[in-house]
Amino acid sequence: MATPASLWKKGIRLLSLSFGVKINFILGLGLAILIAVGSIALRSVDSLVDASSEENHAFSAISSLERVVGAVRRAESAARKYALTGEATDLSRYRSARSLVITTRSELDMGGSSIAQDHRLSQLRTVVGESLDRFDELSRTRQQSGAAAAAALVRGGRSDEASLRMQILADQFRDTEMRTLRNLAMETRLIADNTSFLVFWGLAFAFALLVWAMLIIHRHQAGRLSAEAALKASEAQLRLITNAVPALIGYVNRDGRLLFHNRAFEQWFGRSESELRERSLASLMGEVEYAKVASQVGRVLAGESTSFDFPLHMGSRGILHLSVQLVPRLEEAAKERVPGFYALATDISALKEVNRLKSEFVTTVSHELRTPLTSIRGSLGLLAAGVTGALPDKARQLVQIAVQNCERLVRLVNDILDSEKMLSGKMELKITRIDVAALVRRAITETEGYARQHGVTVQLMEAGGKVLQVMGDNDRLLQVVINLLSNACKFSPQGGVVEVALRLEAGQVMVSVANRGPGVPKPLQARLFERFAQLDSTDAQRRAGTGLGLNICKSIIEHHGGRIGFAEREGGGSLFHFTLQLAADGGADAQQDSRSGQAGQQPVG
Amino acid sequence: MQALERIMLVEDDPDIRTVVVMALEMVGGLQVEACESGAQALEKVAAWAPQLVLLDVMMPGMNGPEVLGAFRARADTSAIPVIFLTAKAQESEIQALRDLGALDVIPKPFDPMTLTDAVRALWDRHQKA
Repeated sequence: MATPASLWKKGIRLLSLSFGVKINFILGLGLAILIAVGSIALRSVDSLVDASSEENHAFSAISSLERVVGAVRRAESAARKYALTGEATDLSRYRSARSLVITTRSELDMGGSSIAQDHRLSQLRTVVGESLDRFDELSRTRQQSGAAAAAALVRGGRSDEASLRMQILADQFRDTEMRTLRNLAMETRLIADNTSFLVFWGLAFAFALLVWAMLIIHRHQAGRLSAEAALKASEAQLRLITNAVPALIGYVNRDGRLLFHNRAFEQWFGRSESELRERSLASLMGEVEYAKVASQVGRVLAGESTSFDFPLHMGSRGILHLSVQLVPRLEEAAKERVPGFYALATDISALKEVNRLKSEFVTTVSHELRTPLTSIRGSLGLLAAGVTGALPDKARQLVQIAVQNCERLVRLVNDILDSEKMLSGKMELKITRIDVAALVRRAITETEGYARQHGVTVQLMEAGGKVLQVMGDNDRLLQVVINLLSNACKFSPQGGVVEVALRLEAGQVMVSVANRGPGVPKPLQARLFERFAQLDSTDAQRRAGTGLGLNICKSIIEHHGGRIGFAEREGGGSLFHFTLQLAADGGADAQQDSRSGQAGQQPVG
Repeated sequence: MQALERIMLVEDDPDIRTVVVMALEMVGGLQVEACESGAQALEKVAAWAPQLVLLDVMMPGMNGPEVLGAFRARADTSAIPVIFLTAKAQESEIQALRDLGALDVIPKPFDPMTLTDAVRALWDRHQKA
């Protein structure tokens, strides 16, 4: 049901409709109103024409009646005069009056405005006929029987009676017609009033709609103009910003054409705006250079954002080291097909140079440190071993401290170099097929002395009867296991056991190294694998490390596509573990292995 | 198989020279002729007739690879096995030195107590080959 509230809501909805719908609705409504007003006016005119013809008919009926009654009176008067005088001239007057009555009586045949009036007219015609018969009788009596007989006929009074009847009928007819005329006049006035009211308000409403439509059109036009102006201003501002940015900013469509570019493109490529407009990326970069990024373009057109570093060879203009980000244009309408992508490329040549210098610096410093370290370590080593003669106890103790710290310094230099290699992406992996158990056993052997020094036993739990092989760099993976083992030994209590376990889990080889040491303090756990994570530690043992070992382990494992992690052990202690992808056919049963089926513990060291 | 007894060391750093000589002589019981430059080594090599040469890589004047080249160019020294001593730790650099025809590369710093063992092990491997 249409309540006022719902109508109001509909009205509001109309106001919020689009421009086109609104204008069509208003003009349609206006046209409908004009058609309605026109048809009403047409019907009113028809009614008025009908009323007018009825009016004319009534008037002519009344005037015909008046003429007939007048002619009858004149014929009666002429007949009476002839009856008195008997003169031929009076008889002639009567005869002409009589013929006038005959002529005018035919006008009464036109009919009245109703059946009652028609009846009255018919009676009138009869009365007129009777009157003429009496006048003829009177004139005949005068001619044949003389004046006395005619006078006797007049005195008989029949003529007065007929005259009276005629007069009554004529009056009744006239009154009725006059009443009809009055009604018609009232009806006509009413129609005219209504029609003029409807036409006036209809036209006024149509005019109001027209004005409304014009206002809407005007507002729409003004809005569009101001929106265009705002768009132009915003575009100009955007262009200013993109032109000011010292990076390549562009939009490339699916066909690989540059539809938008900022000024940096013109400057870096040495091309004019018109040369760049809609130019294909391949022709701008050169086919050879473009081929290097084609796969990235393919990825972004598949809807994936990508970022990569890219050295763009620009012929005689040298190499431009770019950090590139490609972002697909994703729109609701084009969900299934990326229409193009945005490209942002920053010149990182300076950054590359700084990185190269830093890398060179670290390498040089590391080399320069090694030379004096060789002398120091050599001298201290010889001294501590007593090659130059036995040292007093205190001196031997001090030399031992110097040897240990010298070794730590050597490790630090090595770790810094490793860390730098990983950061600069220069770590080279020599990938071979590796038996993980053999690798772990070698690591245990290498750390044997260190474990003994800390009074720690290392136990290896191998995966039951399986030879687990991975593809990796043997030296680097050995470095990881040695690092984890050394840490575990270092933080184990005297007489403690370090457990090393190998497991196969969902195609991944998992190596874990666990001890029963004090564990890793909570605040350190979250950043355990970050560089120099242990720096703020005050623990003397912790300080003996370089702070880079775990970070290097993480890098090595991640370079192998694996993951490294840490967990607290129930009942105290830490568990470090890493996973590596099992090589294809790398999980054969070790039937020839003497330890197969044992799946047990193999104490080492 | 011939036992290793006579060695020539070419090292420009006097401190390292001293340490290496002491390690090889006092710990390893070898006879060592120490040279401070490549030129000096080329001058003394004929007289000393070492079984093996320990050669530093970075030296003023002739560097290690250049000295190795000179050894290989002379008929009397072309067959002497050479072990490089280097403070350069990059794998690629070490591999490049091996590819020059050296027996192996011993990175600096090294443990003076096991240096002779390492050298003897390489000597034995060379003898067997």
